[in-house]
Amino acid sequence: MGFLDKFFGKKEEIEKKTGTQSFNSLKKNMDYIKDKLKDCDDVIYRDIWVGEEQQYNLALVFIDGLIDKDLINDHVMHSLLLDARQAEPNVEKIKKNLYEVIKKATITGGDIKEINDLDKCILSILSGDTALLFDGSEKIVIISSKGWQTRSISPPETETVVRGSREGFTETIRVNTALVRRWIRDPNLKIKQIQVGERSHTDVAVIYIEGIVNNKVLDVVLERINLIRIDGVIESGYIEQLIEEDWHSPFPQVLNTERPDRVAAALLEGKVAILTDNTPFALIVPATLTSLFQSPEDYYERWMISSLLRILRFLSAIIALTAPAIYIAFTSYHPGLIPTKLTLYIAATRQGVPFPAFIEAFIMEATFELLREAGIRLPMPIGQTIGIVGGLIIGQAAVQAGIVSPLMVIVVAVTAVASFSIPSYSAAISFRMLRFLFMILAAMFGLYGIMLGFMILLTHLVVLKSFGVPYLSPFVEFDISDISDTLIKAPIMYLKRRPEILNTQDKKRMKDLRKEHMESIEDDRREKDDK
Amino acid sequence: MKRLKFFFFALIITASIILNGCWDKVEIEDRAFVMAIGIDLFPESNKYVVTFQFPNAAQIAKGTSSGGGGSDKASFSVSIVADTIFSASRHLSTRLNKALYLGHTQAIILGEDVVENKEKFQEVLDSLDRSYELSRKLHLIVTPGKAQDIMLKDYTIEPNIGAYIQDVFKQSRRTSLFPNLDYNKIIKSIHDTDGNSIIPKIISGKDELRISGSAIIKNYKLAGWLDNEENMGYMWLTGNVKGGDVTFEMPGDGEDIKVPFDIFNVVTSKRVEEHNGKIKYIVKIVTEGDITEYTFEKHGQMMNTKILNIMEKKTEDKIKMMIKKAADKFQKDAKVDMLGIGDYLEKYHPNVWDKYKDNWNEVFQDVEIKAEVSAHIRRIGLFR
Amino acid sequence: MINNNDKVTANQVSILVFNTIVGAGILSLPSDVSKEAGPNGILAVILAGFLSLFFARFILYISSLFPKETFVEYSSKLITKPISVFVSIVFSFYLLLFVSFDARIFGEVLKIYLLPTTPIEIIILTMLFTSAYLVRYGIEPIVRMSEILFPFIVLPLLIVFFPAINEIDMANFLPLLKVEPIKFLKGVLVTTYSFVGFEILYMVYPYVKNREKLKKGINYSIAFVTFLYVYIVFFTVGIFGHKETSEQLWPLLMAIKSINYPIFFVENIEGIMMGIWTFTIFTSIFSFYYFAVLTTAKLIKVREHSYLVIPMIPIMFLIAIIPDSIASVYKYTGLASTYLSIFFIVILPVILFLSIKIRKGDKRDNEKA
Repeated sequence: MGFLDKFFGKKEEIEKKTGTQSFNSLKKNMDYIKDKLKDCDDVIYRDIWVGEEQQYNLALVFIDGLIDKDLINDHVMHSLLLDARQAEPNVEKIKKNLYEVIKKATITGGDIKEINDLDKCILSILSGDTALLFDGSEKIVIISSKGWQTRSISPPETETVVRGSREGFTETIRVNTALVRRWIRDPNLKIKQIQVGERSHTDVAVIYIEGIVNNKVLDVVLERINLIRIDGVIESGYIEQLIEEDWHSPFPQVLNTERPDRVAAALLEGKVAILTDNTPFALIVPATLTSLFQSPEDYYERWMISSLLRILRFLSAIIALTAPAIYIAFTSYHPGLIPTKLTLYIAATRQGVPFPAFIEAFIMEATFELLREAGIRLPMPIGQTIGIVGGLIIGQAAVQAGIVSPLMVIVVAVTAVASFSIPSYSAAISFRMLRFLFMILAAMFGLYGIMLGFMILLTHLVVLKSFGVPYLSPFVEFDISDISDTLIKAPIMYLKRRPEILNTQDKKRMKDLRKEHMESIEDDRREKDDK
Repeated sequence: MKRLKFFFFALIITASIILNGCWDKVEIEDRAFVMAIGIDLFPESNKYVVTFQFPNAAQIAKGTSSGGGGSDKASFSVSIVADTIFSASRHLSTRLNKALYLGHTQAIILGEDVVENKEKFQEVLDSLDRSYELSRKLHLIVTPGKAQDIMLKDYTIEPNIGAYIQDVFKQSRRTSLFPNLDYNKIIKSIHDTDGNSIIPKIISGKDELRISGSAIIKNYKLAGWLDNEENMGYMWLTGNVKGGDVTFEMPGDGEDIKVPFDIFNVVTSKRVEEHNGKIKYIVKIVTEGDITEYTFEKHGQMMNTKILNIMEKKTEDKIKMMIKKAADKFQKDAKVDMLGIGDYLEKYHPNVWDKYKDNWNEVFQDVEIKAEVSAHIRRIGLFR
Repeated sequence: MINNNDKVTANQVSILVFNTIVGAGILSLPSDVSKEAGPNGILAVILAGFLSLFFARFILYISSLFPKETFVEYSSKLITKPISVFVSIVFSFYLLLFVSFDARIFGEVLKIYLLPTTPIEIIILTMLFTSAYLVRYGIEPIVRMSEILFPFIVLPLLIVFFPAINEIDMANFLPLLKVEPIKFLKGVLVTTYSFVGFEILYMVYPYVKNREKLKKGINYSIAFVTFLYVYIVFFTVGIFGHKETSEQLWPLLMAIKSINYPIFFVENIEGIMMGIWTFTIFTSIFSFYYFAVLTTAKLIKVREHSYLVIPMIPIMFLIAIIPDSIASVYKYTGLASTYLSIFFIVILPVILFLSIKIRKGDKRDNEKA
């Protein structure tokens, strides 16, 4: 608990290395900046003289490409150059007030800050703000002018749904936070921004709903983010890996998504979301195994379909994990356990196949993984088809050449399809990897090997915790109410309380007013009848 | 440090496992799946002749992919002489390029000589019992003569003898001419009564197998055969008839007409009465059925309830006759209680059972076995 | 490494007790009980269930009088330190015995049905190591594991017999009550081996969060075990009759082998059952294993119990392979269960209880004086 106390008061930025105090003289400031930003040819220095006789030297520094040129041209420079001519001729008074006047009354840009640290100033310039420096004043005005090219909001590519919003996050964190706000217009939706990365100074936003979120989880998240010391955060994946509890595990303990609706729903459940600049992938924490199987569509469609689909997904995961292993176990070790006719058929089709079942399975699975990986790299139209179709065709050719048996091809295809039906891409990868482990175990010990594999896997999962929540909740620390949203999806009327395992502050999220309304009508009617 | 030790351990174990090889791994195409086993005694010696039949997997493969039946044999039958059943399967490996696998064996045929020899039969039963590979749902059958003769023939209907036998047993409901017993039930009976059982009988025709009738085993030895009618009687008595037909004769112009009563439902109940040391075992049978064949001339007569009553009576008589035949066979010829009367007494009248259990075989012979049958004709086909 | 707070709920403990009890015993239970009690095996099982419940609650009661201490600690108060140490060592050994026996029996069954030529040592070792992996993490993962595996153990066992309903001959349970009382009691005794497992209640009490619910939980737990056993005996004896059942080594597996599944692959079921049964044994093994390690840890006052886990493996392994054949395995387990189990389940609680009473009397006397 000592850790948390240390950081309790400092939820925001860690102390940066002490900055450099700015100078009174414009020239000195500019020299410093120019020196630091030497050889950065995209930095633009614009000198301005204001005052009746243009004697007051101001300078604007910004980086071309990062700023919104219109803002700078129309608002800042326009107001400085043209409107500032309204300054009174009295030099001293103006000088003192010049800064105030300009800062408070002249600049028509929206977001203004005042700093006197040159390093921070440089950082702001590098982030896309414009710095306005005054000769004779050590205060620097930072005008927010971010306006770089960004991808417009487009459907998320990795998580498509049939029904639901088609907006996905983009690479600009401000756009993303705005998207989240569109879903939740609650003043309790808090967004804490932290800068992570020694050289990248990437903006990271931690979002939560105060009053619902479990503060312990929040504290741990903030603590861990604050403890990150890395040169650059290229993608949210870096953050994910650095705040995870168990990096040995093949299972992701953090959920990632491109969809704002998923983030909003998670926030309402009491989870914490982390947005990272330069990537559309947001992180949601804590994550459990069951959350990896949930798709936002489950909540938009009716409960029966959703329940069936969820069960189907669980089964697919099991199939993706064990199908080839079961094939190996049964054909090599326990043919007595397959129905007779099937056994004879398998034996017949395997005549002449030069490899034992294990090698055959391995080759086919490895080939399929290769194809899949290749399919991702290839350009769009080709890539899609190469994947499964290519696999099947190669499989067919292999069967005709007599290298593999047809049943093996079917098993591989079924496994592949099953693994694609897992909503979370990271989880699907884990299952695909573990499949090979199961195959090896099956090749060594048959069915017993598969059971051993399950036991080891379960042991690992049972110990795994994601930010204080056991990974296998709700099956562990059994709470019947939570089953209603994991194995199946209960009708929305029954999902009145937030998941127990998250231990949130405010438990209720829905009231069935309609039911109460109907009941009160009934009661009224009954009273009337009695009279 | 801990982690290092763990890795070492894991490495050693993994290495030793992988380098050693996987013990039980036998590729499926390297196995010969025995479908049927035949056991005979080798004359003038203490050995057995064991015949194994397994399908020719390559032939099946050719069949499925090329679409035409080759002239290759669909299955192989191999015989070997050995001391015990299981050394037989081991020794066969010297002649065969595949490992015999008994897990899918569907039928075991015992030659007559095996069941006539008490010790040999017990040996065979024991080795079958203790085996963990053999499925308990396989069918144990006896053949008068040598099992090898049956096994070494080719049957065009279904070259796979084991599957053939199993499919025949699946249809046992249709005739009730042989008991639908699998190995499980037979061995249970043997255990319960210390050596008594009924085993179905199989004979081979020119190009086919026929399962009808059964063998009576008393005290681990063959004590007689039941022919078709006796068998059906036996099944009536034990309440095992589920289908089949009872043919009786009706007077017609000239010859008698044989009319079948097609059974579709039987309800049996039993009770025992004891008077002065005389035990009466009464089986009450209520059966329903259809008349499916009469004679073309007598059209229009079937709707007459009188005629139907006569038919019912005749059916009942026929059934009673079958039962009597069976009862006689058991009481007089074989002198063994396979009808479950003793079992019934033990369960429902334990006090009575205590009186007689020590010399039950003798007492059994004097039990009066009575059958009260009532047959009901429900349907008569589409014509009057 | 272990960041659990070592607290478990009463619910979890009840399930743990259930899983610990249901282990290797279920395979041979119908056979043992039919041999002694004949067709009345079910009644013997029910009676055994009642007795087990009584003694389980007894042990629970004694443990509840010392809420923050495990057996090792409170027994030293009650029966003097040296004796307590001795008894604790025996207790730890006793639990290890069951791990070894269960592992051995598991290996034997596996060799027969699934892996005939694999050396039994390998099977036992892999089982022990996998359990060790889990046991090292402490009590929380153990109860979670048993929670998760619980439905996978119970549901298949219940469902697998459904198609057999019409193969049951109710007459197999007659004659009723016509069995000598002594044999009947022997039948009850014989089922004790199958009820072993709730001795863990000696050690688990301090870790439970909501202790008041534990009483009810144990009631349900043992009642359910009894129900399950009755269910199994009912079906096995119903299908085979008590004579045949008593002759088989593992009637449960035989029964499953003989049932005809009209819908499914006929042969497949016993394979799947074997797989499921792996879980059953696994839960028993890791539970006994953990508590053996815990007892030892408390004895030698070691902080992290995980150090002790691996060294115990050679001990258990040796015990497991000492018996030559399955017959000697059952001989030893019979001995262990008749003498050691009776001691720990019946005699020891009584001794502890008397000791408590005496001390209470002493205290009162002291206060008066």
